[in-house]
Amino acid sequence: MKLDTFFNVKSIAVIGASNNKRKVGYAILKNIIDFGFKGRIYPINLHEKEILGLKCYSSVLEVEDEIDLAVFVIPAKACLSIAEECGKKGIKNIIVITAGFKEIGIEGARLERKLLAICKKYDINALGPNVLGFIDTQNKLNASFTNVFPKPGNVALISQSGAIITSSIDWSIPENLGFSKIISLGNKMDLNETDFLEALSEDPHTKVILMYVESIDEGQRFIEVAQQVVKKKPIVAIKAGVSDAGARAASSHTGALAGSKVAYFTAFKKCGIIQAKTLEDLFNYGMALSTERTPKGNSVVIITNAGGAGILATDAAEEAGLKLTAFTAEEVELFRANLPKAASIHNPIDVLGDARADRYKFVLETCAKIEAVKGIIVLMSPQAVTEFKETTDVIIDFYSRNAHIPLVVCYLGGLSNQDAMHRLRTHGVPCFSFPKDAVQAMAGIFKYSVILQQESERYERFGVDKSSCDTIFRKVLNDNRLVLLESEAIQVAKYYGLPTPETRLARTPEEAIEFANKMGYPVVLKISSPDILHKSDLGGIIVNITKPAEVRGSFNTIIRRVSKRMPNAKIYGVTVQKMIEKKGKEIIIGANKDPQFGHLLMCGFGGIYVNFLEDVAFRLNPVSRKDALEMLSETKVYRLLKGVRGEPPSDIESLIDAILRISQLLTDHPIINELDINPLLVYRKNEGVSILDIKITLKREEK
Amino acid sequence: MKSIYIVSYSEFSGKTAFALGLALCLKDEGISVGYFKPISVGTEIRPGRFIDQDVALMRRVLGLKESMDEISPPIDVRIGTYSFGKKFLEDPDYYRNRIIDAYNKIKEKYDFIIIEGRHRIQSLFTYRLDSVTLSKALNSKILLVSNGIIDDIMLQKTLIEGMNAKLLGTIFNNISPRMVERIKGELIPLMDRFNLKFYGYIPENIELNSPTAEEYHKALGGQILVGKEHIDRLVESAHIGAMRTESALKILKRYRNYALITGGDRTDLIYPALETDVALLILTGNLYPDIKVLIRAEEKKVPVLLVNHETSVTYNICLTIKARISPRQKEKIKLIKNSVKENIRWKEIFKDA
Repeated sequence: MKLDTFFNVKSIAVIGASNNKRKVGYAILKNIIDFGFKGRIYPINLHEKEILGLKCYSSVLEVEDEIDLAVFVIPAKACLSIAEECGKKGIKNIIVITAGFKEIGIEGARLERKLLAICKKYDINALGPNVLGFIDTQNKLNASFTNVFPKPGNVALISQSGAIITSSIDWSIPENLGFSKIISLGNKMDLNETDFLEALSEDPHTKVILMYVESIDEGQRFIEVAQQVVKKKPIVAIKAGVSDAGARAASSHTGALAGSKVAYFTAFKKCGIIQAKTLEDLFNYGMALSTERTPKGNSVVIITNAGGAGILATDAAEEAGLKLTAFTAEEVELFRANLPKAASIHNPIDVLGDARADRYKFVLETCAKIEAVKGIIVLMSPQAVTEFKETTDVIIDFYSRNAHIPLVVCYLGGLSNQDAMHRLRTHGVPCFSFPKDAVQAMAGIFKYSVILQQESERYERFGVDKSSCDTIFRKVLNDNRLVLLESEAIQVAKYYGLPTPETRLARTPEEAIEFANKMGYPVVLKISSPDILHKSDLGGIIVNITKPAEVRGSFNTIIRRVSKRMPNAKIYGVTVQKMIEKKGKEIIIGANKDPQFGHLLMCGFGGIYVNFLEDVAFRLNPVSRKDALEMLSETKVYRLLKGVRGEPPSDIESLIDAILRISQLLTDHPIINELDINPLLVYRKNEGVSILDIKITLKREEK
Repeated sequence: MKSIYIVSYSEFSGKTAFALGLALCLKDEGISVGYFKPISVGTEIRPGRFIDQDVALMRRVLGLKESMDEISPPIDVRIGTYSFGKKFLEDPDYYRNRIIDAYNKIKEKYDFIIIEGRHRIQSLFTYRLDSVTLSKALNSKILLVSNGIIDDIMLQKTLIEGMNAKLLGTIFNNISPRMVERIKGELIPLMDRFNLKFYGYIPENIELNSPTAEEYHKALGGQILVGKEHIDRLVESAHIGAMRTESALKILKRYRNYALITGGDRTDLIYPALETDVALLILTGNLYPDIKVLIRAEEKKVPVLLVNHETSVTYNICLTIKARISPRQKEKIKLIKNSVKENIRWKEIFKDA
């Protein structure tokens, strides 16, 4: 595998190692030594004989042994010649800590391109530039300039921000949390998040992968890889830059292209990545998922010694998609017989403020025997008689004996329970200070269990005429256009089996009359010009034309109006379309090509108020039948389609077929940049659908 | 010696490009071809120094031995028709004679001379220096270069015949695909009916019609921030990006090789626009952009031009920018020759002249 040696370094060179304590070159070498790296260490510096007790070399070429990894802590300009030397030495992995590349401007970007070219020439894996470094706790390698050392653990962290890493480590130490690998991605000149996901999926020491993401570089590959990784271990990601202002901040941070947030969210969903909204969520999920306990359902029991905390946890559980287990009469009876009268014996179970360890023990053991309980949330607040130590012993014992039951703990407060919390975490029990965090963590493991149960998607294929569409697209490009005329777009829809009204492009009034006579009245006439986006705004549409004389008049009126209002528009003629009189529900189906992730498919409430109602849902293409239904059910219009106020239900099956055919159209034709069907009329059940208006825009391949 | 006088009804009809293409086709056949422009149009290249760029182009590409002044006698129409008119009142034949003298000096040196008229057929009609009158004086037949508007063509035909000048026929230039059917089905039979000879049409060609980013730079001034090496990119249209990002992108996605005119502070719009088919970024109001924009633009091979003008002024200047042919553009010149060779019955033009 590509990063095998990266994750198993036996010898390391620090190029730019220094005796000057204020330099990063000193900090890195010292971190490597102090963290206890057992392999060979070679400081490289032209002017030094010895650094930190190690023999210093003037170049990697002077070192006789093999070097697995070289860390660059030298000025940006020097990186090119040093990379050449590394290439000649046969070093296959480098970390460029050095800043002063793409993030500082044009000159830096050019330098970075040159450095990449050298790495490609020698087949070098390069992390960075502009990174904090890389930490591998199993190998006791800390090739970074962190000020503190992380504890070993089974959580891997990939971050595009170095400061997020240092703060996370700093926070993790008192919280008693450990890491397996920590990777700072920086400018992602060569190695990116996908490379490390791939490598971490094979790393036996990593059970959960946490990601701090500003941008993703190879969107399509990322999805393919992540979909495979989540089958083995959970990935939790936080996407920074989701607000407009945040996106601007991200774009000027690491020089990342912050894509549309919808694209990122749908991409994460498609991969089965659990999304964290805040950094707290990220680590809460991480802590819970690192236990590798997956619930068989979302039914949980909450055990508390304080009513208020129980209510808060219950609220949070509902919001997070968890269900409180409903006990049977016998189970209730069992609790009633063994708990004080005042105790609440329905879920949440309130064991009361005077509960000692034995009461917790009884409830825990009983819950373990109840089949319907798939997870346990234990809450404990500091009260006069609360036995933190003893109860903690009970929980640790219970936890180790019941490896199949996901369990999270919340010790409310801070002063009285520090030791207890620390002990729980040492024994791998996820423990939090606030009810909401504990519930979130449980919800995280539940989410992952759902992801694991998902069958791989099946994408349906319909019999379509792909090559005729290719011909139309070629013709459009040869005509120096990107925009299809409506008559062409309708034809494309037809080739993909989508129901469309009969449509012809007429160049003269006579032709228009001939077409109208053939298709039958009434007809609609529309201006045909690639330069006009909103035809009706310019008076370019006349509907309900019932006889030949009206066709002639309308043809001329449309041409006159449009020529007057938009004299420079290229007019190809007038589209004659059979008017659809049948009423149906108006739906919009659209697609947009995201530069990173490909086609983003959208559907929802159509018609003229689309932009105001914003009742739409998104998925990344391709979509399965299940995706299509799920996407529809996220919209409000879905309830209308099912029939409200005594209305009969609409033809949802045909609508889903239409979505799937459009999905296939997009898959078959990456050249489509944008597609807009608005409205698509959905008739009553078994009566089908019909496209009223369709727009397609193409994208030329970049040279 | 044969000659034709190229005339059009409106500006930017492509007279010079056609003249160049025709001349190169004939030269390939071993015919010696000269060029003459009775009334020059001066562009001030430095204070007090005016040259006609068409004349300079033809002289360079055809390798003509005559000086610029011999190819186009200096007649200062640019100083304004007021003084021009005064001269005419003093001596109505003054300029006319100078033109005839100049033409006589070169005419015997070539097998074929292409005379290029002023922008419009009626220009300088008042002073009897319009193309029709001069074609008679120079004993040359008129070839109309047109964009296919039949009424304009018939009006010119009537004028030429009414003035007893000789009309050779017409060619259409820069014809869009959607016009082709109409030409074949309607216009050719119509021209036949009115006895007007048609030598063919040249289809619209984006590469010939589109100015380069460099031409935008020349017209707008300002500073190229990155992408100097891509300054020869063709720019097919220019659009203002002033609306919300999403609305703007919806429109911008519809265009190819376009110039985006927007403020340098619109990183939100510029960044995603760099993923569309953009060929030139024009940043207005002298607002220097975010450095990341420049990095991305360079990666995408898109020149970035920073100008002083505000957006609306910039747009108005952009509307006036037309594609020019420079003698350095070898590929473009070859394309011009081939477009004449493949679409126009140029041998017949030579024969009929």
